[in-house]
Amino acid sequence: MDEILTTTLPFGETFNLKKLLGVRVIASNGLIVGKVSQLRVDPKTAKLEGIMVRHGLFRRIYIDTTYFQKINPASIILAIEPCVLLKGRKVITAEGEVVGTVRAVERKELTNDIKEVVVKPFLKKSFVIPVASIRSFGASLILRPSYHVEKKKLWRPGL
Amino acid sequence: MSKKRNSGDQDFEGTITSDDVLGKDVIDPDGAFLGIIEKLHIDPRTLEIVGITIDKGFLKKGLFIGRGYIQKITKFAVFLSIRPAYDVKGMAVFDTQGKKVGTVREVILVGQQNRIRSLIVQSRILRKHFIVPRDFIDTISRSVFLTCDKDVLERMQLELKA
Repeated sequence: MDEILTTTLPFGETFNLKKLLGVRVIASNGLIVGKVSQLRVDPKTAKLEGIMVRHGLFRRIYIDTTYFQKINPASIILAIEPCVLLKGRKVITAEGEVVGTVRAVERKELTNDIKEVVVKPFLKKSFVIPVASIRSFGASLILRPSYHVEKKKLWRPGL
Repeated sequence: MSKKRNSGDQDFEGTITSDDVLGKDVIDPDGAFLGIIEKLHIDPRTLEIVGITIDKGFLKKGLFIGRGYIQKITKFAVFLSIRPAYDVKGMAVFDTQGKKVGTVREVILVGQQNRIRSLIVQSRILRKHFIVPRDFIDTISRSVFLTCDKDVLERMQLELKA
């Protein structure tokens, strides 16, 4: 095989990008996000810009390479847990009371930085919690002790 | 309602009863709901609560948690200060190359503490079993990440068998 290159890596130190198709994408917390369905390249610089991940049957998430921690032929490990996957998780107070589930996540533009979380209680209207009021993001979202969820009764107007 | 009489020398204001605890959700530091409290265990000599049994659900084995691992009891739930090591069972295991080694089939603890001694990992292909000692485990979160490659693990198993 002939090689024509200047200062880039020699052939032996690179790997075939095609091998990345179909590999597992794992979030920083070990959550399996999905599998790579597309590789997206900047047409001007010919650099890998990001990947399209198939999450479940129908959902697709585009993640740019800024959020990559490691690329292996067997998997891509992200440096983050995609905040778009928080949807559906329970939100609990510091006392353990379930206040609702995550309905939507408001981000700063298209980054993974969360601004606020929209929470939907059972049979009640959604409300917004700013990210500063959330103590931890894990299997559930746990609120800080200083955050007080307003109690609304079913018979009060404006519910 | 008439005030309860106190025939002992303890002030029971501010205490909670078994009714306040039984049936409550048990939550680990990650926010995962582990189950509900099914039983309170009391030392019959000292009358102290030594732990709780968690009902993890239909057809699932109960889990006993010692008092030392309970962080706080609130009005709505009981919070643990640890994530039970048994929760690792069923998790996917990946090596340093990101290759899936298998899934955790068994968790071997150090005595009865919440410390993992080793994991028994079953690979999907050929149903091979690997024993992964604690030293080869990098991190455990939603999956288990090892500090070695799958090849090193396989060689280690052969050495163990020999």
